[in-house]
Amino acid sequence: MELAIKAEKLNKSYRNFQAVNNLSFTVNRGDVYGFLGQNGAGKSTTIRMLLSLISPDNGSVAYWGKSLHDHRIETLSGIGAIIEKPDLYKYLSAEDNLRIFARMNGMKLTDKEVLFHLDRVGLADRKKSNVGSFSQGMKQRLGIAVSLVHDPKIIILDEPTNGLDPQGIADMRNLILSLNKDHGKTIVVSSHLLNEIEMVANRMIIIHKGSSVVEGKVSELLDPAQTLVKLNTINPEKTSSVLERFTAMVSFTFAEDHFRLIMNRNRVPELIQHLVSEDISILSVQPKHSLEDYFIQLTQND
Amino acid sequence: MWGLLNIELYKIAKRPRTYIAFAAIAAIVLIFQFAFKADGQSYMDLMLQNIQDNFELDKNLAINGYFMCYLILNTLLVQVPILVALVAGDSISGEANMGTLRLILTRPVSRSELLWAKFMAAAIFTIVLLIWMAFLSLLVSTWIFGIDDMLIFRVKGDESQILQIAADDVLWRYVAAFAYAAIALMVIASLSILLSVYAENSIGPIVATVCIVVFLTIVSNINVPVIDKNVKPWLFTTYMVGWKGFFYIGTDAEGMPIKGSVENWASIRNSITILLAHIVLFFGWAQFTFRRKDILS
Repeated sequence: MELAIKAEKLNKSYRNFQAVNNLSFTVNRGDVYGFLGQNGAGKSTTIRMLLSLISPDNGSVAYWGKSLHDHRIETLSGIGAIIEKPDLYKYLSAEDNLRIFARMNGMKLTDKEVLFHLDRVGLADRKKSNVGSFSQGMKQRLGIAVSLVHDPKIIILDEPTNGLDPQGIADMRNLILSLNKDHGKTIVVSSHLLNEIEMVANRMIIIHKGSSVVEGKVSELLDPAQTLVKLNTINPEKTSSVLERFTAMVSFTFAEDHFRLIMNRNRVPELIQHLVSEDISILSVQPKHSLEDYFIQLTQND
Repeated sequence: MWGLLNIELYKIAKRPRTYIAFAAIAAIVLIFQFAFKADGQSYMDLMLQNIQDNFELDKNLAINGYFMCYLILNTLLVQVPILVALVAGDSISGEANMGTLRLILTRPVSRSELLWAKFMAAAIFTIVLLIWMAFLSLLVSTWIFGIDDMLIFRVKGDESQILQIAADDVLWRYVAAFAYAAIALMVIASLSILLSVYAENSIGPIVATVCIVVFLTIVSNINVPVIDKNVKPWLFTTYMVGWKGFFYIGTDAEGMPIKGSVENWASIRNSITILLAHIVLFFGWAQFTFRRKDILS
């Protein structure tokens, strides 16, 4: 599987607040990758680091194997993004906004191309209207047109359904699926709603307080038979190398001195046996709820 | 770079607030011209009250287009920095406030090129504003009041002076004065852009620029020897009215004006050098900051 994005050990803090803590993840070509977390979990900070709007304190981001830091302009020419709500120039028309952002990608749009891009989001008849007169949903659709105008390979959408009505949310979901299936786009989409991610993403990461809780395939992570296991051992490095051998059975992350494993509940004893046979001293094993319950619990606790 | 500059100029042209500056200048100049057309004599009487015993002056000839332009520039160039700050101070912070800055910077656009484009756009705006001022205060004034020798009233030390410049020796001085004013206003633009880089709303940098200019102008006008010697030479506000130097005509040993000359070229050169140094300092500082800034807006 070709890697589209690789984020490694990203850290970002503001004064005494650690917004992102040692966060690593990978997005494969063709993925719709869900970025799930509560408000304030560090999603937007991470997405801004993916777009070089924020410099990480340490860690790195690479697209198609090339460092974002070293190839910023080249990389960004292949990315379309909406960060939170798509703020555009309110005193300019939809057409002007589209032309301006296309120009930043070195494109001069013909009238026919302008019409094509606006028609794709249902705004062809409003091309001369000032964006200031648009509803939130219309701005969101224009934002999508702006982010797609240069035909990017990767689309990054930060909370794209915020402020949309139910029809707008459904339209956005269909657009994401269509861009992925019909046009082969790799998409990163963040949300604080599990069901939104579940409906569009094939892979996902949950982040909490800036750290990764779990990363993997949505179908596996949300399988009712899967459970989240909190594992604490004396030798994390050795544990990690052993767990690497059982990736078919378990996906894991390490944070805050313990491992978080996602695996079939029935196979937990088998895994413990393996660990013990490798001389790993286990301090504690705590099977938690299903991932869905766990995420709901996280949301309710804060 | 040129693409970005075109975009910036297009955005400036499309914003209603841009035209406030042009309207304000037109209003002030037209009020001046109307007032002098209606009752210029009273002003001249007031201005000449201390020296009219020593000079025989035809006041009707003194009020001409060139004199009017000088008078208007003398009043207006103190206010124009506010109008420049209105556009330049909004350049980055306005984008941050609208949320468009983050959208721009997710495009394949270099941060330093973006800031250069904004600086160039502010420079072009300033020059166009000065051309508009020149059109109204020079061309319209000469049309209304006619052309004649130009008289400058100047207080030098303890004495009042009247300098006379021949009509055919005036125009190049205005061209030079407007060019100088453009450089002086570019200092304001670069200061506004620097403050704009630090802010997330439009009003802050505009108000801060005006406050800094007012404060430093006051300091530049305090007559205390220690400030005269150690502070004033380093303040850009000390040199904002340096354009007047082009109208202080050089004189020969008998005190007769020498056509095509100015009294103190070295002082003008020094003023321009210090203004340019301020532009480099403010804009360089803005570049350094903006390239490292986390975009949180």
